[in-house]
Amino acid sequence: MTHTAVAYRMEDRLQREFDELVYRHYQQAYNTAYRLTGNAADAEDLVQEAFVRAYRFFDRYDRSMPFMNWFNRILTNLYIDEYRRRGRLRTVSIDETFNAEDGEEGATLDLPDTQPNPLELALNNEYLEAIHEGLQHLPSEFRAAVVLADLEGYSYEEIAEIMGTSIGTVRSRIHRGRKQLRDYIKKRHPNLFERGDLK
Amino acid sequence: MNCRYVQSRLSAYLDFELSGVEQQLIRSHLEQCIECSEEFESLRRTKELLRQMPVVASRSGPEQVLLRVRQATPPPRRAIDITWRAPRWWQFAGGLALATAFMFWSRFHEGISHTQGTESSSTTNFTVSSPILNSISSPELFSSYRPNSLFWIRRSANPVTEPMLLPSVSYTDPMLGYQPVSDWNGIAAEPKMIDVSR
Repeated sequence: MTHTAVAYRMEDRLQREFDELVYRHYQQAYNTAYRLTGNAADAEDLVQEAFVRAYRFFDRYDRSMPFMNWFNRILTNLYIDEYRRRGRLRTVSIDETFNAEDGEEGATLDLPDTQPNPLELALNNEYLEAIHEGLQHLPSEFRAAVVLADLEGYSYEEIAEIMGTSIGTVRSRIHRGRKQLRDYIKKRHPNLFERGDLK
Repeated sequence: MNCRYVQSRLSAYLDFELSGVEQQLIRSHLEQCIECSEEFESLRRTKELLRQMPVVASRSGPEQVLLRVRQATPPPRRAIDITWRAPRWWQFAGGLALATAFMFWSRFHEGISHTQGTESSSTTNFTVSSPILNSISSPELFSSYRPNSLFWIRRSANPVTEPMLLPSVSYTDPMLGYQPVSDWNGIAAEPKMIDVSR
């Protein structure tokens, strides 16, 4: 076997390792991106861009840390940088009609199939929508912190590492993010915060 | 422990991200203060609501991602570059060899420096084993020109303009599957492959 063949085999191995990681974590990554960006199209763009970036810097990935911690750092930074540059994110209401480019008047934005399991049906879609919209109204740093903490279940220390800030900053971002979100939801659905409504 | 302080920490308290003492202090405060406990309750609700958010599935699968990854990027450099490191003991062996070389060198020079040294201080039986120590102890020796001390290899007067001492062929790693790129501006996406087995 020539050394060239060895080199190609190494390359193949890395490629296969990366492919496997993409297959394993794509769903979770997409979910995070969806909660960050608020709509399916932007989420797909963000996930793809983040994976492309991850592949480009794959040789810097330290195998001793979980892939998703490393990947979420790329995803979050990409999101905060890129989407802040674009200015305020356009937020699209789910049931609002919009004009598609191909002249399809009155098409509604079709969201991906969510398939909630029976436990999650406790919250009806109206509420979920309010929470989702509330998330979109947060500043991007607060939203990223809240999503990482409450949807992804990371500890403050991990979030600080992912976002490249101190734990104190993470704590205040999560706290302020949750308070803003609570105020938003409370305004729409005050009954969610009445005693004994939830469980 | 006042209400303002407690309310600023409620989220961290909720996530068990405070120290044990602080956690207990806040818990005991919440038992007494109605206002703070209501605030806490609403934050707990918010977190609970967030945790019940369903996982959304995407319409396009990971294949789309892999397709874009293949199109957009060259494979990472590390994938081709097989790095070979010298074993750890080589470093020790190298250090040992250097130390031995220095010892022999200083032994070799001992006679010279000794004869030079004894002329000035013949009454003492204190001998200096190394010319470096010798030169430190006697500044007039240190400042003098000593041509045969360290440089066994002749140094050219101007090494930049005299290319004889520079290697004419750059070292090629035999484990590398391709030739090192000499022109980084005109680099192609595909590395130029050479047949190493030949």
